[in-house]
Order: sequence, then C-alpha cells, then structure tokens
Amino acid sequence: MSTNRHPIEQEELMAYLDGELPMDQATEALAHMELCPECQILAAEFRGVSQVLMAWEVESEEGGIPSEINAALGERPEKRTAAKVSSLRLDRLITRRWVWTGALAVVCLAVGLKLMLASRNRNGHHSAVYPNMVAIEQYLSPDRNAEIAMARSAAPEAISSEAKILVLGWRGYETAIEGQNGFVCVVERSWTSPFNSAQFWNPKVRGPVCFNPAAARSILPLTIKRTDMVLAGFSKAQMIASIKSGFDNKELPAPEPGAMCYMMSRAGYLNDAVGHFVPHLMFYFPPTDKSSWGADLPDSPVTLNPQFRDGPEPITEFVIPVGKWSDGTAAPDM
Amino acid sequence: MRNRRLLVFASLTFAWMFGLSSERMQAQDNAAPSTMASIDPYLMDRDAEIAMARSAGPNSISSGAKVLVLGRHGYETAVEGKNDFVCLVGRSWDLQKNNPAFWDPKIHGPICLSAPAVRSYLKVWLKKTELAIAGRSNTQIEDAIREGIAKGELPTPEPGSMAYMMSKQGYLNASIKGPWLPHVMFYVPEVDPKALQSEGDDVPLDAHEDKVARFTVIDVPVSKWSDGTPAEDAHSH
Repeated sequence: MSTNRHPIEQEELMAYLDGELPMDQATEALAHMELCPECQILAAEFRGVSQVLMAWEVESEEGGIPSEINAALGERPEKRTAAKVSSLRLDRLITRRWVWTGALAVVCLAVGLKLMLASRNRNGHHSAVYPNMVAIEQYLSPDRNAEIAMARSAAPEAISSEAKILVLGWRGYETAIEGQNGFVCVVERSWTSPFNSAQFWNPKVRGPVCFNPAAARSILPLTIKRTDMVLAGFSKAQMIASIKSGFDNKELPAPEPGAMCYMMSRAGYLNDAVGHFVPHLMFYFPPTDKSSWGADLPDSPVTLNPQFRDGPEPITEFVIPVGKWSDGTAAPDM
Repeated sequence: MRNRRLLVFASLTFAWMFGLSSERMQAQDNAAPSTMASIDPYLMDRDAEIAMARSAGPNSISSGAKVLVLGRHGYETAVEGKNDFVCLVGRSWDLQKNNPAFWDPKIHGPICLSAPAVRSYLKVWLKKTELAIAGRSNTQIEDAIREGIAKGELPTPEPGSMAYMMSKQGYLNASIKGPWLPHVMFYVPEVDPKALQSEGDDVPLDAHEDKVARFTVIDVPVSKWSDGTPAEDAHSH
C-alpha cells in the first residue's frame, strides 16, 4: 500500500518544471521541494527525461532506417533491396511505420519505467542526496573573476557595478572589490539553505545575491557566520546553537528596516529542483506571520521564502518575482 | 526601468500612497482650491466602491478583507472582514499639499492594507479624511499630520506594514489617467531612497520618502493585475 504524503502531485510537479503552474501552486511546489529530497530527485529525473526527449529527433525519411533498428529487428538492408521494385515503396512505408511505432513504444516504456522508479523514490525509498559536506574545493570557484562576475549578475548593473564584491576563499568570504554604494554582492553557497534542506551540502549550489546597505549590515553577517562555521567544521547542531546564542546575546543583528536584496541572476543555481528559479527581490523582517501579508495565497505576488523558516534566525523573508533578469532579458512568467 | 521611471516621475501628479516628496512636485505649486468645496463629487455608488476597493488585492485577500467606503462623514465600514486586511478607495487628499490635484475628485486609489498598516498607516489616512471633510485646507491637513506624529498622537508605519495596489480600475493621476502598474508596497521607517538605488537603470522598484508622515515607501511592480490578467509592461517601462 502506498500513500502520497506530498502536497503536490507528480503531474503538478511536471507542470511546475515546465513553468506552467499558477503562482500560488508554483510557490507551494517550491516550498515543498526545498525540504523534500524525494521530490528533488523526482524533479531531477523529470528534467533528465525532458532533456532526453528534447534531444531525441526523428531522422528524415531520406536518412533511412537506422542500422541499429534494422539489426534489432533482424532485417538486413540488403534483403530489402532485393525485394521487387513494385512493392518496394509500400514495403518500406509499412516497415518504417512499424519500426517507428516500435521505437516510440520502447522510448515510452523506458520513460514510464524511469518515472515509476522515480515515483517510488519520491515516496520514501531514497535517502538524502547530499547527506554530508564534501571537500571544500567543490564549493570554491576555480576562477575568482568568474565568481566576481556571477556575484555582480545578481542585480542590475546600476547597482552591482559599484557594489562591494565578496568571494569565497579557503578561510571564508573575502573582499575582492571595494564598493562605493553600500551594496554588497556575493555568491552564497548551499549552507544558507534551511538546516533541514536536502540541498544543505549540495556543492553545485550558487546563489548570487546583492544586499542593499540595510541588509548588508543585518543579513549578510548571517551568511558570513554560517560560512565561517562550516569552514571551521561545525556540525549542524553546533551551528544552530551558535546562531541562537548570537541572537540571544545581540551579537547578531535583527533585520534592519528596509533590508532587502536582489536575486536577478540567470547564472545562479539555487538547488537541484529549481535551477536558477526566476529573478526576484527578497525583503527581510522580524518574525512575521505570512498570513498578515497575504503571502502564498492564490494570485498573491508575495511568497514566503523557506530560507529561515523553522530556523534559528528570527527572520521572515518575503519574495516578489520580477519580470526581468539583471541583464534586462525577460524572465519566464510565474 | 529608466523610461518607466521618467514616465512615472513626470506624470505622477498623483502620488497616492507614495509619499512623493519631490521638489519637482512642490515647484508646480498650486492652482488648486485650498479646501474641499463639497463632499458630493467624491462620493461613489456604494456597491461600485466596494467592488473597486476589493479589486486592489487578489481575491484570496480582498474577499476576506474589511471594506471601507467613503460617506458624508468619513470612511465607514461597508463589509466586515475576516483576515485583518482592510480595503478602501483612497481619494486625492493624500497628496502633497502643493499638488494641483489635491482636491481632484476623479482620483481613486484602490488599496488593500495589511494588518500592521491598518493599525498605523490607516490611522493617518483616516485623520486626513476627517480634516478634509471638516473643511480644513491642504496646508492645515499637512500641518496637523506633522504635529500629530511629532506628539505621538499619530503613528508612523508599524514594521510589516504593506499594501496591495493591483487594481485595473484605479485613477491615480491626471497624466496617466489610470491605474499605473499593479504593485505591492512596503512602508518602512525613514530610509533614504538613495540607499535603495531605485533610480538606477533596470532597477525593478521605486522608493519615495514622505517627510510629513515620516516613512519611506518601496513599491515593486508585479506581473499581474488582481484579476489574474498579465500587466504586459509591468517590467518593461
């Protein structure tokens, strides 16, 4: 007996990945996937299948039947060429139809099996994808200039060109370029995810973000603190305790009024489920009930970001998608 | 975004809920009357006003919101709410005192305010309305608000104060003759708009400081109107 303990159906997940879900359902899907390793696996499977299908092209008739298929069917091309000329065209037509039908059936079967296995994984037959930290090298960018460029891509050039830029080094974030406008741009890593996120140690995660001055003073210190603790080898439990203590002792600041950030980069990779997501702004507040903002309600453009939900940081973070990436190109509709 | 900003900046004779403090506005100075001649031109059909007020937010918000409508003696409750939001249609007297449209009865700004905004910002708005209907001049209204805040009798926006203005039906100023763009607004204590770099090219927000009511409002255009239809140019102006 299987029971579905996920708030979104597989069909909805597929629609989400295709950008076809309405905003409210997309938000629900995103929030759930952030904390659901099985769903992240399923999303990755769907993406893989989608890529296979996208790459699968039917060759033109002039190209003839692929030799592999002929071989699989036990037909030899030379036998067909020996057939009577009068029946050749009909034979080939019929044969090709059968071959293509068979090939399509094989692809469908393979896709079906893959989805079935993915579905089993999603319903509890799989462990976390990234259970532990991997070697620090995998979290570092091999190219300092590339990381600077990615950090700057978080916001429109009008902001990021004069922002301070931090890059991640072996001993933590370090200043790569001094700024002039109070903004700070940085590429966050996976450990800024919720502590219970399956992506917490995903070395592929790159989150370009530009904090405004208020957030640079009150939110960026959290990114730096988490990073320093990760590099120092703290366990999750130790990190949580330290952050709680930091807020209790007022060593860590509460969000300043007006604290916000830009995440408008198309170069980012926020997690395995959403890739670079959509360009958006984020606003930080002391703990706030999302219902008081109408966040996550149908057709509401405001969503609650799960980054700090149930975490040790007393912060509520709201997200508003915007229509363009930082380079000015149009974003997909959500 | 610069094009949009220029358009808005040039055309926003109405600064509804934006708290425009622009010197450009003040330089226009007024040909407008100093007091309200009569409340009549500002009154609407009650059901139409309720519908317009609700159109400010998505149905999921506004259908459960308390709705206020303007009556002869001020705003009154037309529909009780269930979700702590309050929706209403604002009128022109929220403008800067020198704005020529300060008494323009065509101006209608549908807005749904969050609970913190209801507890703080709305009180200032209701006070302005009370003074306007009592025959106070634009200058007297502004002075009274400044004084009320200075004495602590009127609040500045509570943390978390925000609002939805996503109605297609609004008429926010005489230049654009319509609702501008669907947007979400955040009210924060006085933050220098320059610190948000809102005037930069392609920056997807605007910020304005209201020095009288002592707050800064950040408005973020969103992609759809409250009825779910796309605002095609919400991010392209």
